[in-house]
Amino acid sequence: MKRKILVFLSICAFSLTCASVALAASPEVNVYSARHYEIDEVLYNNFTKETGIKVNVISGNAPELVERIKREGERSPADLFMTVDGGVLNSAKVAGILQPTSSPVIDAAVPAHLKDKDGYWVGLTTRARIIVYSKERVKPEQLSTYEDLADPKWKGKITVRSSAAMYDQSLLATLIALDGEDKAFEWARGIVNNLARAPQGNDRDQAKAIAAGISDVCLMNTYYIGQMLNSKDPEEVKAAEKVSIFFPNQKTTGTHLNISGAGLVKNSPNKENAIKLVEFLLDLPQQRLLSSANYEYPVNPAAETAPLLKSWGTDFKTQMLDFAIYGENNIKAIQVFNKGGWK
Amino acid sequence: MKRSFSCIRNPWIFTHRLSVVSVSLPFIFLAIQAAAPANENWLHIRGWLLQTYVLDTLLLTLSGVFIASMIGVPLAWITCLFAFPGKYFIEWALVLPLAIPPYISAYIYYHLMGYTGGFQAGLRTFLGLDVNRFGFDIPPMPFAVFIFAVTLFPYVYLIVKAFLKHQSASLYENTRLLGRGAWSSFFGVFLPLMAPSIAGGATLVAFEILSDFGVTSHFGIHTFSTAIFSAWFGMSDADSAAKMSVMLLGAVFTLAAFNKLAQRTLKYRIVSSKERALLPRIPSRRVGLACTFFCVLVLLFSVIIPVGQLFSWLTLSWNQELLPRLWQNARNIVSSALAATSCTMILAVGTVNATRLFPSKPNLALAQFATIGYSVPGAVLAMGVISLFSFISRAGASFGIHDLFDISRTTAMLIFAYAVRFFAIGYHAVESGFSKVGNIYGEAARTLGAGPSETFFRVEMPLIRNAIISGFVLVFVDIMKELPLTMILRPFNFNTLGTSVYDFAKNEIMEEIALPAILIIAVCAAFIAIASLLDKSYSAARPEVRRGER
Repeated sequence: MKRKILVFLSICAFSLTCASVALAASPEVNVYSARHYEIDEVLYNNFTKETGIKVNVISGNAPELVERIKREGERSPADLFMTVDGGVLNSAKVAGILQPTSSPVIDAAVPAHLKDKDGYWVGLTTRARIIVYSKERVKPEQLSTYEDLADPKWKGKITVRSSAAMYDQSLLATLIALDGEDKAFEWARGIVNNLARAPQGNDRDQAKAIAAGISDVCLMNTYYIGQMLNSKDPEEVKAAEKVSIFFPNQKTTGTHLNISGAGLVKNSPNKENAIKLVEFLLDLPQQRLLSSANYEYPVNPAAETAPLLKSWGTDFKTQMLDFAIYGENNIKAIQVFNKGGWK
Repeated sequence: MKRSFSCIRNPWIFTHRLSVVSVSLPFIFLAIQAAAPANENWLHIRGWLLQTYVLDTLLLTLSGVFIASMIGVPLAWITCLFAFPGKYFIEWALVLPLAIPPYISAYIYYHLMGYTGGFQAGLRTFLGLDVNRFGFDIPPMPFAVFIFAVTLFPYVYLIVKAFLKHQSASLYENTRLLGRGAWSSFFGVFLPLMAPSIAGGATLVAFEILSDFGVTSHFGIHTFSTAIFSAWFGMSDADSAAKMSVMLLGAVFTLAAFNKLAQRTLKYRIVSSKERALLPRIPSRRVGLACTFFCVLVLLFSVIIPVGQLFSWLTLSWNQELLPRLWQNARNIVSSALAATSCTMILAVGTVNATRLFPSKPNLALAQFATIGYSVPGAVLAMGVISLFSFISRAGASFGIHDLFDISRTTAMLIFAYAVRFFAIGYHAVESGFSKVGNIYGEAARTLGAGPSETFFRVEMPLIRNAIISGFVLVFVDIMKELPLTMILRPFNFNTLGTSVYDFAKNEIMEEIALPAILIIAVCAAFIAIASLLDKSYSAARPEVRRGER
């Protein structure tokens, strides 16, 4: 009897031991990141080697990380919030979890339109949402704008992701800003009418649908095409070689650009280290690595862009909108998707 | 006066109250924080989406539960009744699908059936056939139902099998003696008897489907869980999310009530002094082969194909440099899962025994309430847990204890959340163990002068040992597969095998998920194997039971 109670107690003690983790005493910076890329890990390690500052990371989905920082309140250990999508960066700012910051290094490295106008966050890399089309069945002359994809001539020729995808929400948010809510609704409904199948899968699955002959055109982020062309899966490479890319709206409002960035958390306990890390990531070698490993566009204009991206041309016209609009119009975009029947 | 005093001092009642309070606290904090002003967003959701949510959730859950039962019940029946070729291996292997998280299975099948997957690529390469020309496509809803059915049927299989194994020998013999054939005794006698255990397994399957996010969001199916996500995290609208959470909880309570009702109205008490296990008999060659074929077919779709695909990815992505990191991730999740499972099982055993010692209505209702953690989406529970721990941490700081629950640095928050979420699994396992044993042994021991605790540890715990072990394994395996709680509540630099899979899948690099996914499945399979060995050696060590069987 007593022995059994002892066994129970020792199990409890074991549980508590598992729960306790030694506290770190060395200089550190705490990052809450929604970027899940392998290359980030490498860059953090390089940063630690160079500065001796340890990088602690919690990675997760952006809205959940924002919610976690909010709930942790003034005792949150978070120093830096990193994520993809301008709308999410803006919603972090609006949620009041960030503080403005600036440094001469940051100011010099990042053009004004790739950071928050009040300094709450700064861009690290950008990506364009482009039209991907079948080399076999579509001639680039047939393509012009995002808006044109809603034209009945594309009936049964488009595949898209589900409207839960942040990247399409942000695209629609900008269309609402540029064309107005009514036109944006007509656009969403037009796309739905032109769908070759119900919305499903991720970005790569849309390109595969084109390779499979299900559809002729789709919307994708630039880096996914880069990664598919360099995939370890030979079938995926074959699929990517069947499609080509098109930068839409060159003669009108410009191609939709999205951004990944970092913001200093309001109650950051290691503020200086956090700024050091941001400056490190904006420095030329790191910017070049981000681009070559992940096929993203560097924000630092002096940094070298990956050869593949260069071969696509880097001087395309982009939407010159404040990224804050992505966040401000997000709910409207979701509602327009719902009303337009884009599942 | 004396009674209430003893309630506080009684360790069983204490554990019971502890479970109830632990589970309620996160939800109370949620309720407090969700009291935001109403907005027009809710009108939008109600006007445009609610109907879809309700219909899709119902359709998905009902068809998932139905198909899972259609697989699980026949499997339990034939493995108990017949000694068909390969039975001993198959009986064990049929638990393995529990080791494969539904979202991983979904990724795998979606890829496999997609354009670059093995199915279509094979047809193209070897037959020059492009099925897309015939309009081949993957319909999301049936596909999701298929995924849930092949990954979740073991819940039904295990529970029904446990019932059949213990109660059916004399019944089956009698029905056959009275002239019923095998089919007729199944439909006429056993199906009604099995109804409560089928309902028990089906409820677990339904809860899993209701709280799923990975599979449904991948296929663009709008259920309540995805709706709560998109309202809360997409539209930052905690109020609408809370409203839908309440609706989901309502559905869950209705389901639990139906289950209880089914247990009560359908339960036939089998009064027999000697409950013997059914000895499987050797069937005719044709029947035997048919049984083997059916089982292998189920195993093919639930285990062999997914694991085969993982290994084929592994050949593309094998990278020795990843091993140390994944090893660390495996250690992280295994140690947390062990700790959390131990806590969960202690709470579960204590709570169930408390309701047996003090079976008042409030005690039973409270214990039932404590199982709700299992049915809400993980992310919703996670937010409640963060609020709770932040509050404790702030309260600690105001009393000058600054390191009390430095929540971002320890796994305390995560382990607590696991225990709250999976308490239901442990609770149901222990409860079903007790219901098989009944009260007679305990009453005999009490009559002979043993106290309640001594009775439990010396008499009843050895009797329900198997139930505790199987509860432990189920909880452990569920934690290994868990994703949303781990993602949201983990401390710094704490990665698990599940988060590695998620990271690669999120970046759409499917071949890289192979190694961590295989490790998850291997750890779970090893655990299931150890448990079934313990089970066997335990039965072998009880000669009186074996004598009874002969």
